Amino acid sequence: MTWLRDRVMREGPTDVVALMRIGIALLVWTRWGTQLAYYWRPGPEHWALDTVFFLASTAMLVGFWSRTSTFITALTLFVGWLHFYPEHGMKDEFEHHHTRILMAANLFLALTPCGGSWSVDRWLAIRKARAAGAADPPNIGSLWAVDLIALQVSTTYFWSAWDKSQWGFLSGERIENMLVHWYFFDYPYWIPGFHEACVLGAWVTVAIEYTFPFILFVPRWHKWTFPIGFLLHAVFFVVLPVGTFTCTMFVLYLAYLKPEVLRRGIAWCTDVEPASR
Amino acid sequence: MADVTFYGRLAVGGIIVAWMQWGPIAHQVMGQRIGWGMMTWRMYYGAARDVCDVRYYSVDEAGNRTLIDRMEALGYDDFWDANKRIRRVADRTHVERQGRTICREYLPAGMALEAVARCGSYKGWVPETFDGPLCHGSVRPGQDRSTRPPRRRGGEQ
Repeated sequence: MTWLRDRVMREGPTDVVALMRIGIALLVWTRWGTQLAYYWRPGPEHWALDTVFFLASTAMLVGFWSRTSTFITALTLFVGWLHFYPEHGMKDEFEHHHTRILMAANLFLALTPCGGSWSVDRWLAIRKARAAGAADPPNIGSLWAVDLIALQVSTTYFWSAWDKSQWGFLSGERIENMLVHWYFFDYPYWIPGFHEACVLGAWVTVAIEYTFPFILFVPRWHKWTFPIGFLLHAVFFVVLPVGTFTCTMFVLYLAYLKPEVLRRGIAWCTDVEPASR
Repeated sequence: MADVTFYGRLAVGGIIVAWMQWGPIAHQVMGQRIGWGMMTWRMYYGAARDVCDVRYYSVDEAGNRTLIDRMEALGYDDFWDANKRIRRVADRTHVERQGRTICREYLPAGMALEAVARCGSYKGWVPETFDGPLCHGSVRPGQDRSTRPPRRRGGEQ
């Protein structure tokens, strides 16, 4: 119980959620920038959604009224998923696991102090403090909801592995289907060991997706899990039509990182002591 | 106050975690129809189903089977010259349609065309069975494909 209390009540540097805010805002634009543009589905209802979306996501990106703008951005995406998809037939735009994970992460981010660093909010807070002759406010905040984001990533991995735990996938045949579909068009009987490679690929994928939901929470294994995860998603990015999913996962991996480690890393990269920022 | 914050966060977090897990449990484990606002994580569930591994064989009157080069039979010297929709066979109907094209434009009269095919599905390759030959060749001597104009990239099959 003490462990749970410590976890739920923990505070830490806000750089991690600030970077996630910026990353997710850019990903949201990349994913929906076209489909939520005014020309995509002309009509008053759509235009209203577009207007709210672009105002909120712009504010989210720059970190102005960060939590509120992040929440409203998430809300517009959920309205798209729960209303515009069934009522306006916008399935391709909203009904996909790549988009759902982005929506969920966006929503949970609104529960974090995502404007605590790298934001207009932070700049305004510093300006106000200095005008009053006070010290710069510390950019630390409550990070309990970061665990929800990490849990969402783990959930995605785990249930994705569960879905693949059937013979069609484990036999390598689903991977064969995909490679034939996207690359070879005819079954490549001329490649020796093609089937065996697909079987191996299937088992490795499922093994990673079953173990990562748990071991990503162990910081001392990050030096192994992060490169493997990044490599896996990078390969997916270039060989499969995954769109924004790879970059979404790259950004969301930050949720597993100790915020203090990230802050030290930023300080090391920028050659600026954390305390002086 | 700290207790209120702690239990408040615990309650909100609990609701979110329940929502996060209920979709996959209900749909992927219990097989229920997914409810409104519930998320599931079925990746590549529907992808690459519209693809078949097909091999065409010519069969002579003595029953000897010979594997046919599909793209050559369809009039393409270079595999990559063909339209993607010709290179990739999507389903059983497509197997039969390409077979009829091969019979009409490539296979000599007196020969039969058989197909061995399996098509992609969520459960992997599913064999397609055909009752007997797909069709019979209709190309007469002097009417073989060497007399046909070469196909252009992306042309009709």
